[in-house]
Amino acid sequence: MLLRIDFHSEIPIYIQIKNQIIQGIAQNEIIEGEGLPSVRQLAEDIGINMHTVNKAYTLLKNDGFIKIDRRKGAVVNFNNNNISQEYMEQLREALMPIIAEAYCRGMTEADFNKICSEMFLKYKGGNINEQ
Amino acid sequence: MNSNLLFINNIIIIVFLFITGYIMPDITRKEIFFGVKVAEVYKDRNELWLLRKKYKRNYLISSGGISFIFLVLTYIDSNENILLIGVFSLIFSEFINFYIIHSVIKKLKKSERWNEGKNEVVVVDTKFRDNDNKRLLVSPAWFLISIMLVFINIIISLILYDKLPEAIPIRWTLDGHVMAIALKSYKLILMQPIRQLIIIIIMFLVYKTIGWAKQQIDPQNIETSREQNRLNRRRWSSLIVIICTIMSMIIVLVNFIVLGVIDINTKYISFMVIFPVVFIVGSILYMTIWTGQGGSRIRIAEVKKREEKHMDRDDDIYWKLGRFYYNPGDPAVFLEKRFGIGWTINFARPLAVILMAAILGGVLLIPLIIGML
Repeated sequence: MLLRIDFHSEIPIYIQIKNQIIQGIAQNEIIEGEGLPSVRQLAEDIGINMHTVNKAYTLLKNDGFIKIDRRKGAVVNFNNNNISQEYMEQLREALMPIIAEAYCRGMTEADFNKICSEMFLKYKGGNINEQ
Repeated sequence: MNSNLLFINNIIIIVFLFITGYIMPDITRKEIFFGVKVAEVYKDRNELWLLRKKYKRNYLISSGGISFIFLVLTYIDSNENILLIGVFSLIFSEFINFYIIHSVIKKLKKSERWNEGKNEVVVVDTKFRDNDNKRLLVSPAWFLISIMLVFINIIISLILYDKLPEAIPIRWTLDGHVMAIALKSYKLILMQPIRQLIIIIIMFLVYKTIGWAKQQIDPQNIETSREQNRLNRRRWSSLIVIICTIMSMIIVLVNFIVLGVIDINTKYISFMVIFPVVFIVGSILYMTIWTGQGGSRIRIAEVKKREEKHMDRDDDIYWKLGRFYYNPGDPAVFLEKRFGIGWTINFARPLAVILMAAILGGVLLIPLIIGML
């Protein structure tokens, strides 16, 4: 899969990496069992410090999206039944400012849900979650 | 005349340097103009075309003149030092010519603000080095041929040790007259195979660095630049293997002739010494023109539509004088040259600098040391 790293973004690079890999998994651009480059190689290709890539990989590992195999390196390994209490809290926290702003700007709940549905549909089309 | 062959050697080197400097603007990546990153939209500007012409004209006069002068000089006196000075003069002259144009385009880019408006990203393919579909580099097993040749060299030399002459020639003039001999010893016999092994190791390291080098995908031409980048590395890796193998073959052959294992007049040795030079220079030139820097001359149809909203991250500031990459924040050691063929190092990585200094030092000092022995 392709990663697009923006050096001038407000979003830290390690978050960009983490988010894009998760999206890649959602969109089936990278599949279960597929390998990711080593920390060193990815850091060299992007041109950033190895610690930054390491941070991203560690987050992905702790959140259950990849596992670090001793021989093969980082490998995509997720289970789609991964909704923890901690994740629910994180989700609410992330959504609060977004929904608050939408509400203040006058967006209806229906319109907001429509956007959410569109996105879910896009990922469902990749068939990783047959629900 | 033994200086004839040396002169041919010198001609090959000087002409090679001259030609590569002249065609360089046509060989570099399309998105990099004289060491400056230029977005797609500005590529066809008239100024660029004029600057390219100006470079070639300046180059013909300056480097052309220097080439001619040194061709004459080496014809008169085939001293290796004259060739060395000639080589460095050509390198320097090419750099000056490059830098003149580089400064102009850099200023133009800044004053017209070519940077602004687009989102700068670095595009990285996680599967770039996957060998599943097509190999990134040719198989490393090819180096086994060269290794086997070393062992054949050693084994046959050892088997025939007792039958070898007591006095073994170790230096010749170019038409085959022996200049110096040494007494037979196991150490002497093993010297050539060991040199051969060192060469193979160096070539193998070069082969590896071609794989390690930073992938540099153009966000405005993702599919194309990715394929070009991969194919480029594959081609050069195969050329490295071929050169390594041929050099090993020549070394074994020459060694056997010297030891009298093969009965051929030693005057053919000079041909065997010139041949690798011709082959290496010729094949590099061919590969250069055929493939272009980063594979820029490989034609690949753009499959997906172009991404217009992203442009490549502008890292001009890390390219000192437009040629030397210095970025302490980048862990990458090897990356593509901006104006030239092949790869260069990140000068901010101490290991890379030491490696390069060692190689250059070796190249310069070894002839000196051998001359003194």
